[in-house]
Amino acid sequence: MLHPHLETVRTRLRPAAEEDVPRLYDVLLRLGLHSLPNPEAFARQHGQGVDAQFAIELKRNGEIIGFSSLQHLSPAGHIQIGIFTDPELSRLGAGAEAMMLTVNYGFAKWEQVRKVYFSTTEASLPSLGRGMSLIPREAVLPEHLFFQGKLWDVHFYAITRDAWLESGAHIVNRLVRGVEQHDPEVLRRGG
Amino acid sequence: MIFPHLDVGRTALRCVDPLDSKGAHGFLTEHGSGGGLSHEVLSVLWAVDLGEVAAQFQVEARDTGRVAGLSVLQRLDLNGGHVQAGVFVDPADEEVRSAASALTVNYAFANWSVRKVYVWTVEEDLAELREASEIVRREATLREFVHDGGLLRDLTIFAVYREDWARVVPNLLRRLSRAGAVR
Repeated sequence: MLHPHLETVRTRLRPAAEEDVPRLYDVLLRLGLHSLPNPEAFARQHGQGVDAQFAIELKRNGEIIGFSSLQHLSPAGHIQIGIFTDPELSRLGAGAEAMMLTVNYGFAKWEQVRKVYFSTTEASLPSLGRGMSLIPREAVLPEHLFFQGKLWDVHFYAITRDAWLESGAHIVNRLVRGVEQHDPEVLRRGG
Repeated sequence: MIFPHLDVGRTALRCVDPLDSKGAHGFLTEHGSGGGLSHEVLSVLWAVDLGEVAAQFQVEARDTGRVAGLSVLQRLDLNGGHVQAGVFVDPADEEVRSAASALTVNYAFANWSVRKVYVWTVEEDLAELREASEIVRREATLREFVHDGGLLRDLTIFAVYREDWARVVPNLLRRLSRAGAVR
């Protein structure tokens, strides 16, 4: 049985609140991965379809390095994860740990979830670690998003519950106990 | 040049205020034009927020005034250069459905600076654009993405690109304008 862990030895997911929205906007602006609306419109729109949203904190100093979320919970048994971390603050694998925790939370919180979707572009793939290369890619939508002055393909990855139980959940349990080193390749290694 | 035609042959589009998925499903059921489409499926294919609807049309048969269904253009992304079309006419009403699909896609290319028009479906192919099947591209399929009465169905995203549309649309509209020419 999965437990919806919200922290490892070094990283904590804290439920995000309305007062976190300006910081989230700032992280997204600095990442340059979206063509954002103005802050007021963003604040109005950002919660639509969101089932859980977390601020990602470093436990040693309480610093927020980014945000993760789970959205669009479907009766078909899937949910989408989003994660955005400040590149200057998310060194040492805290972003990868937050991603593991968020995926784990999706499967633990909602028993009906069969798979967790993650969509991204080649602009973000390097920062997510080589582990992403072993998560099955289900689809690619060519030239779908425009940012940083060009069109990008959107890649849809799907993590199934079975695959998570087999490997990811064990890694999260070890991260929680502090026996797994933070490593951007955590998603790649088996349990 | 692509002109935003609102009628061809025996089919016309009439611009209407947007309905949400529940309202649209009720409308289709009331007019017997849903073709068995469940609300579960329609709610995935339809915009979540009315603010995402760029244009919505009532599909009508010109000769009788009969309401044949709805079509919609939604999730317009001028930055990414795409918009999503949806045409909901009973498949048995094949001539009207083909004509409404062509008019809806054409309206999108005529009115907005988009590179491609998406159509989402849970079907294997895009029967409503069969008349232009040579330019319809299968872009992505999400496996078992839609719950439909206890079954899980794939969601496929098809796309039509502007340059292809501009090439075929004169002949396509000419064919559709001839009553009985549609297969």
